[in-house]
Parts: sequence; C-alpha cells; structure tokens
Amino acid sequence: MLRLNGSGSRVAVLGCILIALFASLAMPRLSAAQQGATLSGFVTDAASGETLILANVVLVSGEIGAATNTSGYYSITGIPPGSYAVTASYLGYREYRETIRLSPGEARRLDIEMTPDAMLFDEVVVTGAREEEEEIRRIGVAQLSTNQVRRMPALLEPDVFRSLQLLPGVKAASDYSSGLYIRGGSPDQTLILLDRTTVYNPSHFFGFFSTFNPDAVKDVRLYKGGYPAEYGGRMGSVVDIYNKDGNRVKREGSISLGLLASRAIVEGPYSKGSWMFAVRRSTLEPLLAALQAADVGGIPDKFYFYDINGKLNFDAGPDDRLSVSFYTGRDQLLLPIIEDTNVDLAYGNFTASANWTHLFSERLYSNFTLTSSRYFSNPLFEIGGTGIERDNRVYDVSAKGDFEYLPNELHSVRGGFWTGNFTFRLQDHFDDQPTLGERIQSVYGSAYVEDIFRPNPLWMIRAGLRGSYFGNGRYARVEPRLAVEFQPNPDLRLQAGYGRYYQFVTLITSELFSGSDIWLTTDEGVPPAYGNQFVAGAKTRPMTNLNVDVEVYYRTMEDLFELDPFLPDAAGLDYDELFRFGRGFAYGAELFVERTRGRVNGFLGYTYGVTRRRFPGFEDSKLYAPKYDRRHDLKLVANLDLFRHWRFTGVFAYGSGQAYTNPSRQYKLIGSPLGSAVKEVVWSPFNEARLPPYHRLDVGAARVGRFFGFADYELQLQVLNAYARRNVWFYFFGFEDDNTIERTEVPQIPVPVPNISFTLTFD
Amino acid sequence: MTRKLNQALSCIAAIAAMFTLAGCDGLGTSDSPPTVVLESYYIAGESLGVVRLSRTASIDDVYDPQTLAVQDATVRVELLAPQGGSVEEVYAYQHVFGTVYQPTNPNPTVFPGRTYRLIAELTDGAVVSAQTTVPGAFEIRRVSATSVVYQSDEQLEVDVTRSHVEGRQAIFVFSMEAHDPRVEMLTPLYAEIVGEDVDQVRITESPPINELNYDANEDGTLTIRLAWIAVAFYGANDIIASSIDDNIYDFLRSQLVQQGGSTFAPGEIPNVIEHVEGGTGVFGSLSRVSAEVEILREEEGGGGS
Repeated sequence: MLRLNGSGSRVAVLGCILIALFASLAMPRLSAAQQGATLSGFVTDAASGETLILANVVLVSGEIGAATNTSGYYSITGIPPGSYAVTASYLGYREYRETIRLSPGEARRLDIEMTPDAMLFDEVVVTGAREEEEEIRRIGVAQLSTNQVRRMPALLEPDVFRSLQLLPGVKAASDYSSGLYIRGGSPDQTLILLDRTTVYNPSHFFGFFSTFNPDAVKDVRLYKGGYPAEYGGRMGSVVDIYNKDGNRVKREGSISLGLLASRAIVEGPYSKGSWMFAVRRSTLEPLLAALQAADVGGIPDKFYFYDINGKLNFDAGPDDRLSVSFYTGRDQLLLPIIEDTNVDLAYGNFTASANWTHLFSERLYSNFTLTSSRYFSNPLFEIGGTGIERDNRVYDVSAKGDFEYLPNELHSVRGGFWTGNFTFRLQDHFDDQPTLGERIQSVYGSAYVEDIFRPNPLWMIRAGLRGSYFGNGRYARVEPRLAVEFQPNPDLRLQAGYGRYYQFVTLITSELFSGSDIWLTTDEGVPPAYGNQFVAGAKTRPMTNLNVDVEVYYRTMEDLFELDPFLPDAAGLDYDELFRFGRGFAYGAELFVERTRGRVNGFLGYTYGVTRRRFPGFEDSKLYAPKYDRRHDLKLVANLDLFRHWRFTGVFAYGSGQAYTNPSRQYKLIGSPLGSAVKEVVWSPFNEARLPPYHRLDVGAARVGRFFGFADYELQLQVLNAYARRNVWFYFFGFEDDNTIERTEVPQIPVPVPNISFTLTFD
Repeated sequence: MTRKLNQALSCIAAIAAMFTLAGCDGLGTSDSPPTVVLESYYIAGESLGVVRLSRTASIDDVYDPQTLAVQDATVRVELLAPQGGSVEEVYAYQHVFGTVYQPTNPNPTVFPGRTYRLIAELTDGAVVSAQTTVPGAFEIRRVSATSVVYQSDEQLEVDVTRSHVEGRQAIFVFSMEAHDPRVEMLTPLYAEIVGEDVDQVRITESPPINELNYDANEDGTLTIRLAWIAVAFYGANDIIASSIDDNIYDFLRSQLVQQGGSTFAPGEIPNVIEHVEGGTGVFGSLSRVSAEVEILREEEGGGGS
C-alpha cells in the first residue's frame, strides 16, 4: 500500500519534474560531450597507499575539476582536447602537478599519488579546511580529520563525537554525554555509518564517549542537515565514518597508553592490497582494585570495554577493488550497589561489511556493499532476591549499491539502492517470569536518483529523489531533495537547500545512561516521523587561509513517535499504545570562522538555535523546550604550533543555559491505602527555567620526537576544565524530613581533570 | 580583500537581523498560585473513605498540613446512576479535624463498578470536583502456603479471580503490610535502605502492573507470585492485591516518573497526571483482596506449610 500525504505528494511531483528536467537537459549535450576527453582515477597517499576522500583534482587552464568520492575516485568529463596542467590538492600533502595532453574523445586513466607534506605542523585539518574542496564546502557539510580528534584535549580518551560536538550546529547534552544533538534534533535523528554500515549504539562507558577508535578512523564526514538523496532513514543528519584501508607501502604500527584505555594499531601491505587491525581496551582494573582495597564505596566488581577494528583490501584489478571490514565492541559492568543488590550490564555492537568498487568505464563508477550490524544490551538487576532482566537485540542485514554516471561536463547523475532486513527483539523478565516479548522483523528498501547539474561555472543545482519503503506498517514514502549553489566569485558561495526526510525507527534512551538503549520501529498505527528542512548559507573566503561561513536552517518534525514515558507496564497493550505522538520544530543560524593554516590556526563556531516539541495531552499540550535546547553556543578551538617539538591546543566553550524544570509548588498525599510511604508531589512549569550559562576551557600540550631512534613518540598532557568552572548539569529537588525541599546542584565536570597519554609509532 | 570581507559581513548582518526578528520562541511562563489539593480513596465493599482537603505550598516554604488545611468547605459525594449519570444518592461530609472530612453517615459502603462524584465547595466560591468508577470486585481462590522462607525457591502463589474494569484490562498494585514492623524484623535489603525509619516501608507497594502479565488459569483465575523484592519485614505480613481505577493509575505512574527514571532528561520534571477539576490531587478507587503469610528467615527453615 502506497501512502502519500498531501503536501508530500506535491513536493514529490515537483522533485520528479526537476529530475526529468535535468535528465532532458543532459541529452542534447551527449553528442557534444562525445568529442570531449575524460580524465579519471584514484587519488592515494604515496606514503601509505591510503585512498584520499575528497581530494581535489583540477585542470588548471580549463578551470574544471572534481573531488574524489568515498572510494578516492574522481572523474572529469567533457574536457576539450589540448594540453593541461593537472593539479591535485589535499591539505597536509604536497600539491601534485603534472602536464598532460588529451586527444578528442580520449579516456585517460590517471591515478595520482600524493606525498604527505613534511611540514607536519601545518597540518590542521578541521571542517572545511581544505582548499576549495567542492564536497565539504557544500551546504550543511563538515569534515573532521582524526589528527584533529587526537589533538583536542580529551576527557580520558580522544573521541570522534566529542570533537564533532565542537562544530557549530552540534551540541552536547552534558560533559558526560557523547550524544550528538544536531540542529535541534535528538541523537536518534542522526544516522551513524561506519564503512557504510549502520551503527545502532555508538557509545562506550554508557554514553561517556563514542565507540570509534581515532587510530582506525580515516575520515569523518558530517551532514548537519539538508543532506543529499544518497542518504536516508533519519530525519536530521548523517555521520559517515570510514576506517583506514591500511598502509599499502610499508608495515607500521603504534601503541598509545592512556589513563582510561590503551590502543594499538598495526597495518601494512600484502601482494594484493593492504590490511589494518586496531584494538582498544580500557585499563581501569588496577585503579578499581586499588580503590576497592582502600574500601571506597560504589566501585564496580568488574568494568571494562573494548573495541576491535579490522579491514582487508584486495585490489582485484585496475577497475576493481574489494574490501572487508569489521568492528566489534563491548562494555561490561558488574556493580554491587547496596546490600543484596547487584547490577550486571553488558552491551555492544558488531558490524561487518564487504565492499566492491567497480569502474564500468571512466564515466560510470559503482560501489556495492553488503552490511551486517548487530547491537545488543542485556541489563540484569538482582534486587532483594528478585531478578529484573532485559534482553534487547537488533540485527540489520543489508545490501546497497551506488552508481555515479558522468554523461557530460554539465551533469553528474547518481543513483543507488539500499535494501535490507531489520530485526528487533526485546524480552523482559521479572522474577524469572517473562513479562514482555516483542519481536519485530521488517524488510526495508530505498532507491534514489540525483543529478548534479552545472549549467555554467557559477551555478550548481543538485536535485534528487529518494523513495523509501518500510515493511512494518507497509509505509512507502518519497523524499525530494534540492540544493542550489551560486558562486559569483571564487571566494563566495551562496547556497540554499530543501529536503524531505522520513524516519522509521525511534530510540528509547536516557541522557543519564546509554547502556540499555532500545530501538523501536513503525508499524500499523505508528506512522514514520518526517520533517522538512530548509537551509541557506554563504561560504566566503575573505582572505587567504580564512573561511567565514554562515548557515541558517529551519526544520519541522512531524509524527514524532516516542515510547510513552509514563508507561509503567506494557503487558497486553497494542503496539501503538506504547507510544506518544508529537511534533516539533527547530531553527537557527551558524557562524563558522576558520583559519586553516599558519602557526596559529583553528576555528570559532557560533550557533543560535531554538528547538521545541509538543505532545498532545502532555503538559497541557504546550510547546516546550527539551533539555538540550540552548539558545547560544560558542566554541573556540586554537592550535598553536610555535616550536619544533611542541604544539599546544586550547578549546573554549560557552553556552547559554539549558532548559530545566524549576518546581514552584508542592503537596503531599498521606492517606494512600496502597502503601505507607507519603506521596510527595511537586508542581512545575515544565522546562521553563534556564540553567546558568556553561563555559569551560580545556588546554593541551604535546611533545613529539624520536624515541631512542626506533620510533616516533608523542607525549600529550592535557587539562580539561582548566579554571575549575562548576557548570550545573541539573538540579535535584529532594523532600527533607523537616518538610522542606532542598535543591541540590549536580555539577558537570567540576574540577580540572588532567589527562596524559603516550604514543609510539613505529615502522 | 576588503570588498570580500564586507561581503561576508553583510551576509552575516542580514542573517543576524532576520534572527533577531524571529527570535521569539512562543514559550509562555506560568505563575503558580496556591491550589486546592483533594485526596480521597474509595475501596469497594468498605465504608466511604475520608476526604482530605488542603492547599499546595510554595516550594520554598515548610510544608505544614495544618496551616494548609481547608477546613470550611462543603463536601459531598454523589453516587451516579449506572446509566445516564443522574444522581442516585448523595453522601454529605463534615469537617472533623485538620484536613479531614468524614461522611456524616458512616454506614454506606462503596459499590464495585459504580461511579462516584466528589464535590467540594469552598467559601470563596471555588468548586473542586472529581469522579471515579470503582473497579470490579474480585476474590482469592487459592493461597499456596501460609508461610515461606525468605528468598527460598518456593515463592508464595495466590490465585485470584478477575477484576472487571470497563474499557481496559485490570491494573494491580501489590502491597505487603507488616504486622510487626520493627527494625530487627527488616530484611537485609530494606535494612540497608531505610535504616531506623521503618514506618515508610510498613506497607510496601509495587508499581502498577497490568493484569495481562499473568497467564490465566483454566478456571479463569490469575496466579500471582510474590516477588521477594516486595518483602520488607520478616514475620506475619498481609499480601494485598488492589485493582486500581484510572485516577490512581494515572497519579501513580506519573508520580513515579516525577521521582526519577523514565526517559526524561535529568532536570526535566513532568507534572503528575491528575483528574481533579478546580484543584489537584486524587479521588481514586480500588478493589482489593488480601491474604496473610508468614515470612521466615532462612535459619528458621521449615519451608511452606
């Protein structure tokens, strides 16, 4: 059954018209293009053989070029015959330059190896830092290098998501959460992909930081909003992460010792490609043992986490590359809380993917992937002889294909599909008796087509259409996407975009604790959530090495479905009775000022943001601000490379107060026949108060050099919350024995927290 | 370069101006004058419950029920006809002390399945009212033992008939009421939690539990198993199963969330769900059954009998 609501169908029809228009525009050009030459190939790191994503390849005299895709492949079509200087650029690498001569209709394969820049300390790769890289200068797109992730002052462990939280438009709920709250959306509105595979709970330490090992990660790309038709399934944003392929030139490795965890990675070549293997494990056992020996209360009997990443690449031929990769991670906690009470919690993820990149021709690129993702959480509480257990599992197996066809120099047509099977299982036991057993299995599928149309050097129009189907409830939806860019001069891009986005899953989670996250899906009576996103922006380069970008956004959220937070027991209820349904909106503006090179570099990001929700029947159906709503957000990241062996980093964050509920009245019910405890009640205008402003300074210093001649070393010394700001996380209101209510301030990280790590990198 | 910088700054200024105009987010603020708090529970087959009337206190004040008591209200409860909702009988109440009002005639009992409407008229003209439909009565058919050893493999089982509630499955709250609630009688878990303050756990209660958690027996009864987490005291205890109405259910489930847990972020405190017109609180009803059981310490052995 195909369902289309009114406004959706109108927009969908508009999208179809646009696609048809661009397709028709493409046809007359084909004959002209036949005389043009084509240049294509892969761009790799000469030292490691690692493919470089979003490297820029330009024909200087022709002023045409292309960026490499996620496989490191580029293709430039419709090149008039003649001689050209080809340049390739990628920040942190020496510019590649070569002169070539192209004949009419020639299809030239040019694989480019780029040499890393010896000036390591100029390698500051933060969002949008690379010179004129097309893709990451697109609206709503940001990119983060793992060098920057490792360099940022970190709470115990370098973290990809905590680094993303520094970008404008991305907010953190608290110092203790690595969850991404992007442009007014909750974490479940962001699709997390690792090597094209969905990751369902990307957290360690119950949300403290993310699962991605910065040693293993090659590339992190964030689509904050208005993302293209290639992606779908979430109504907010996309984080697309790629692990390293492994060094194709030489074997090398590194070991990092940190306060919380230690990491190791080895990588190297073999006759047909490369491999990479990285492992990270917490190393808290000695500390826990010492604390237990000192009779400190609340110390777990057992706590650890680990993650392992691996990848194997096989170069089957010049036009075929295959790879398999996997990730597995687990957190385990065994905690006796009080007498006769224990918590035993395990959760983790496993992902695997097999990828085949095939070039049908220099004009037709393809990529096929098989993915498997598994998530589990298994909290078990033993309280006073009664066991309370939850077993929650998600299995997601999928196949996807992406194609890119370049019919001529004006058009780049992309298309693809993604289909799979999603299985969710939730079983609750209370006192050894099953109390809930849900098993949801659903097929899903989607297909998209997109045309990037460049009628002239000033304009770029990207129009796409995505169709999605979710078996549970048999929902079919059409999602149009449109982005327009006008570049009146090389240093100014004016951009606007629109997109419709559907989401068929929802996450039950808590900011306090992400170890027992549960995903639920649409079904009969539970329609998918959807939203429209409108974005506009200007990206400027007022002077060399300085970017000034502004973006504004407005987005709607309709048919939001969440587990009813007041539901004490789901037994016997119909599936749709488990949920509450609501709507919301968000709007904001982001400013990003960045100095990309130099001994003092970094960025300043400012966000003005508003987000609201409304659930009929909840709090008189009034609009309210969720806790993570924060009007003003300012982040400053500065890198100082003043000396040969030392480098310094500082991060300052300021945010206006988050929403919270400030009770104004109280009462007690004393006559309940059900129990002897007095029922204490507060009355509060929900989330109408604001916490004090948040601010924090983190600083770090690193010394690098050779370690006894056999390895490079890096010693990092960092201090978080350097001036001991006591930011408020939330207030706790407790009824006291003397019939008063005491407000207790629960702080975020209240004291300076040092962090030391030592890394050896060896050949 | 200056031109480009100006261009960038112009863009920023235009957007900033737009957002200054659009900055109103439509959130209102709520004041919070004192509100009348109503509390009364009707139990099927038992005498009409007392009514308590008080007012909410400021969050900054000491909560003193005596100074907050509403003592001069006119209170009555109407028994509504099964069909049509006309008033079948009226029960008058009188103020006795503090916040408490009692029925002037103590003889009537509460009918299961019937609807009662409580109306309190205050001297300032304000009217507080609420309505409850009493869950259907039910009974115990079997108790597996009269004594059990705490945390032994043999758990107490009670077979009960079904309680009819119009439009939904029955929802139960299970309570354990100790006959001898002394500190030395506390089980280890509760000894750790409450220390000397035994009165707060003299009657323990479960959260609301749906009837369909339990498999129905062939004779239509439900078998309820005593979870050890509910046992706060050794010795003689009453195990009480209460089928609750919507008003108590909504109050309990939302008050539990207010105390913490659920999916709300820390610092987000939702209000309780209540069904009192012109005030707040609960006018609820329930049907209940109980059985006595002896909880033995492990060293007392013996097992069930």
